[in-house]
Amino acid sequence: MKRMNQTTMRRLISIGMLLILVALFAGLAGTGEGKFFNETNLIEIVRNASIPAIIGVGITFVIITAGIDLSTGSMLALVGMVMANIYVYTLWPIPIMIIVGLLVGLVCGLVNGFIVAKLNVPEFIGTLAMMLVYRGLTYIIAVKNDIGAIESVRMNHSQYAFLGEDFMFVGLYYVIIAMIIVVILGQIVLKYTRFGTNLYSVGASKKAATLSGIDVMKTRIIAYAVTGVTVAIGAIFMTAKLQSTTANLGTDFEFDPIAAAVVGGVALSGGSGDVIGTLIGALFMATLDNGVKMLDMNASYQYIVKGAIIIAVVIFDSLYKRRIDRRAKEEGAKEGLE
Amino acid sequence: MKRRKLALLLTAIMALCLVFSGCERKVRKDSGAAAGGGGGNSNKQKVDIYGGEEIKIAYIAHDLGTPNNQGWKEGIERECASWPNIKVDSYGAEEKADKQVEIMTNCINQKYNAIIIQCSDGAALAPSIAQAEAAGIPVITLNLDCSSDTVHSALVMAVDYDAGRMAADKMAEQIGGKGKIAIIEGVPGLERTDNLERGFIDTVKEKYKDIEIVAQQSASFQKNTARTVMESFMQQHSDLRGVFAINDAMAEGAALAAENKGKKGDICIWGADGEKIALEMIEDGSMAGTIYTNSWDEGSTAAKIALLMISSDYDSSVLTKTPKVIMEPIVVTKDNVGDISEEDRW
Repeated sequence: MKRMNQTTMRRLISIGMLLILVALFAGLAGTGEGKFFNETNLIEIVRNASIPAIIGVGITFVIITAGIDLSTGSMLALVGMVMANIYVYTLWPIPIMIIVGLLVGLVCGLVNGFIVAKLNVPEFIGTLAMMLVYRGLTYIIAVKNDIGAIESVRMNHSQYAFLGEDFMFVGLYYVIIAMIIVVILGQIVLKYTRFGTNLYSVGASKKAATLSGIDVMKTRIIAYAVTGVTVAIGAIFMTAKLQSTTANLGTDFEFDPIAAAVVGGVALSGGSGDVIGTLIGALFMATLDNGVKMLDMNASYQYIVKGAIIIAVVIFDSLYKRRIDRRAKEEGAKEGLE
Repeated sequence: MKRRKLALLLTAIMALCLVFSGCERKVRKDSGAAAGGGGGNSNKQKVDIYGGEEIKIAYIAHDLGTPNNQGWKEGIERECASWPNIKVDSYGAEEKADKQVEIMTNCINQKYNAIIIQCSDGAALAPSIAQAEAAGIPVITLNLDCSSDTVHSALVMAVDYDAGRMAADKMAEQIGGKGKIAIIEGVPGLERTDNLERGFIDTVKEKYKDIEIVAQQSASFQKNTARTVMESFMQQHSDLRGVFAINDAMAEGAALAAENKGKKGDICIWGADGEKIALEMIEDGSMAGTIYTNSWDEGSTAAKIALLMISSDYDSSVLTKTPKVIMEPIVVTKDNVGDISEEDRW
């Protein structure tokens, strides 16, 4: 019997875990209207997963290069606030405002990449520091009222707010459409372009990548820039959904896309995983988040349940990986004997 | 070269935003009329709460971990405890407006009979509140005034601006109307605390010419951070007479710092909220005073309104403005702290 490809296997396990989780909550929290398992709620889960999944695409690129980006939450706020400034103080058309938002995301991503790849600051500390910088900038440019207090800005112009709604029929939210497009594009770039292959090589071994003629620095910078752009896309949909923005937008958000990627099988050590995995991870996290709320459970315990399930998934992943490695070694040894 | 251009672009965008801040606000014309604003056609249905039908009330907190939120939660639960058919579910939103929006959508889908929410951010929650009201679910907001953003069933809040004024007057009296004082701020952008601070500053500037506000620093509502902030205040200004912290947790931290420097009771430290520990610290003289509001009472008032809305034909579509229930604050100092009985301390 031909053994199944390792990635396919991991994918099937992810999907299986997601389905088990859905079945579990359907059993515990009930099916039917107003309960967990019904069309409205399932669509809501996909909608909630969309923004972490969109940003997760960028994060996946970065994690594949064995990097990390902790500044996404603050970047989200900065992009939102730049757009709010344009919204409040100018009459520029909404599409221009959106384009500027995307540019801000791109520039922030490039700055992260520059600091990490060119200046050789360790990813963790570099992006953690930028998280503070972007948050600070957000406070500085925040829209303020007469006494100088930061105000949350209402952005409910119909040309913008429609992005938070659904398209054609109830449930087909624009953000879900955007997520599907971004995920497909991400997967194509990752699997079928030279750049995608380079990302994996850089993550597997920077030294080997350099020796084989890959511009490691450029590859890493581009990965961060992609993250910046995905964050900007996320910020656009988030502020459109909230029809407003505040300086506190996206606090602690950094965790969500990273968790989605890790749960989806993207190894933090780099070199493996893909965008579809992250999408499944984001759906898993959103299901978990939604499901525990539907259970009649004390809110304090919900955190513990969520944390425990994430840890269980990651432990399972590492055990599985060890098993695969061992089997590969055994087979290698056997072949050597023959 | 390319990089320099990018750096320039970033600087340009930031600079542009700073320039904007000086500009006048523009009003965007909108023909498409976006969502928002309550009223309209509501399909609320009357439920007989004595009929034994199951009734679900959701309480959505900004952050379930704080004493205030626990106080409101308990108030709501106590009020509903006498009805066996009423279930109260509490949700924490980890201090995030977008999480609250998600929870709101969930609650609407789960067809709760009423929602009581402390908005993290009025503007961000407005569309969800309007959506719930349109689905026939009465929404009662707590503490944060977001009534200007959307019309809903009711708002239960404590006085904020005037409470700041009261604290200023009482503190001025305690320090003899002159000297240096400082303010420990919370997180910028929250209406209630901004108003509290504004009330305090306005009063000091209008009425007490000899009192000088020498420092203003944020401690993000955290006790521990406030302690550090207070230490730096005392180092910079050895003759500091008073400190106004926007919430009790920070006042407690400041009082600890003062005590540590052997200045317990020398510096007049004020807080706001009136939580249990603060009242105890006023009793033992480490804090000078606070503005007490009864969180339990606020919670149970919100629950009472929710039950009224659920059990009557009345719905918010007849409203043009959100009705406000404003809870009287009590200025607490050492003289009257004993009047607040043990049952009323949260």
